Amino acid sequence: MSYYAEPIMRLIQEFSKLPGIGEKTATRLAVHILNSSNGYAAALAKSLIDVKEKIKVCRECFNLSDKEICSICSDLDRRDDVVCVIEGINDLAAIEKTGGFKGKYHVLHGVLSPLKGIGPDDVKIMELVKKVEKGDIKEVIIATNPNVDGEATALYITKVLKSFNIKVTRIATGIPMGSDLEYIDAATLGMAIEGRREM
Amino acid sequence: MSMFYNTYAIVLDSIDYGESDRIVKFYTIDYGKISGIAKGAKRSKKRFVNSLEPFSHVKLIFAQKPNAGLARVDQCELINGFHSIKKNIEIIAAASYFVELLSEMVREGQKNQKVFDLVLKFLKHLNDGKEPDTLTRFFEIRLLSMLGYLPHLDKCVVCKKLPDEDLKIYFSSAKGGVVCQSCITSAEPRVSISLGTAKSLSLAANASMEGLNRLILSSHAKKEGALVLEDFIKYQLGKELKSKKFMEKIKCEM
Ligand SMILES: [Zn+2]
Ligand SMILES: [Zn+2]
Repeated sequence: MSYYAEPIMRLIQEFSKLPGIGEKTATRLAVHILNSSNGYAAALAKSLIDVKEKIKVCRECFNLSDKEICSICSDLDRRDDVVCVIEGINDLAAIEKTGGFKGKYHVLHGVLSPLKGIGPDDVKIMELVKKVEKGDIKEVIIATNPNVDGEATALYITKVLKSFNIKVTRIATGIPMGSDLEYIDAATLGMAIEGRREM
Repeated sequence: MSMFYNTYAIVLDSIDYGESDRIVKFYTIDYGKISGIAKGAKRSKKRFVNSLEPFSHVKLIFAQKPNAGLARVDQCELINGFHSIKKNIEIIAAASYFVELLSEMVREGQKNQKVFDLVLKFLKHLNDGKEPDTLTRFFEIRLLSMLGYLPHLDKCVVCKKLPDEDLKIYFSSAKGGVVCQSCITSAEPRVSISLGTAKSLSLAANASMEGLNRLILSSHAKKEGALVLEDFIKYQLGKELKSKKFMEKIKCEM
């Protein structure tokens, strides 16, 4: 690889550290930057620095934001009394894309995991309890993933919120839209029947 | 050249790897503990529907090259996902403890069909709603016994005599069993144990499966047994298990 000049080499090495980027792709990206305008390179460099310097965690919901309180929490059109609990910010983006949820969020930044030794203190569960303690929340929707860790987290949250007089719900799991019952695995189908709704 | 293997397994643990893969630890009935990579498991839910979750009972096809560390998981079909376990956090913690203890106590490739049957049976019991504390003590003592780590519970490990009914006995993890009052030295780390608990644990280790189903631990034996076995297992493994710590964490914060 010594046939590249040192600054190009350095850039290739930095790109290679990114997830999913091998040396070939890194080289292609580096050459692309080299061939693009000065303005583009400067804008990219600035975005990289800005994201580290300006992004902080929202005081209310722990979403990432460039302000003390994120745009969702400060949105007056959204309901304050319904909070959707999610594992990470990727899940927030996924739910926002549905456009169907008009409440607020609470980002746990992780999930409980007995096999990884991740307990309640390692994720933002106490912060959720404190929020509920204030008394304005009527419903907490738990939208952690439907796997062992996600279920453990949902069960624990349900337990710690039991003493409050609020509704605690869990997102439904079941059959994807557009699929065929006979090809659904038994576990998913079983859960779909269990979580059936009245028509 | 890769060889293909077709077997049954219990999923011990599963972690995300890179963008789309998962590394999964299995305890197989024919080849003991193995680790394999399931390519595309994070993205394509279709290939490995629900089957790579901890304590799932699965039918497994994997490929392995000679001397390669990781196997390649080709097919993994769910037989039993033990869904009732996932409805109670204490039961999830107990099931996690079963698979973690098994995983820590065996080496890769060490086959033992009896151990496989044991863990499968105990996961079923948990799933059926049997009381987890008693099950956990029985699982511990039987697993230790099957793997050749059963502590001496009937006689004093030092003088080999049957302990006297009216003298106190102790349990020493370092000595590997009960020690009578005349043999214990004052500086020795020990856990207190009653003769009744020692007898119950010994019975649980040696009873037939039917006998075990009838065996009841008194609440005293449950408490004492938990402390004795915790100390002994920690001594054997040289560490405390993550799922064990997890149990403590969800208890004290309730
Ligand atoms: Zn916010
Ligand atoms: Zn003695």
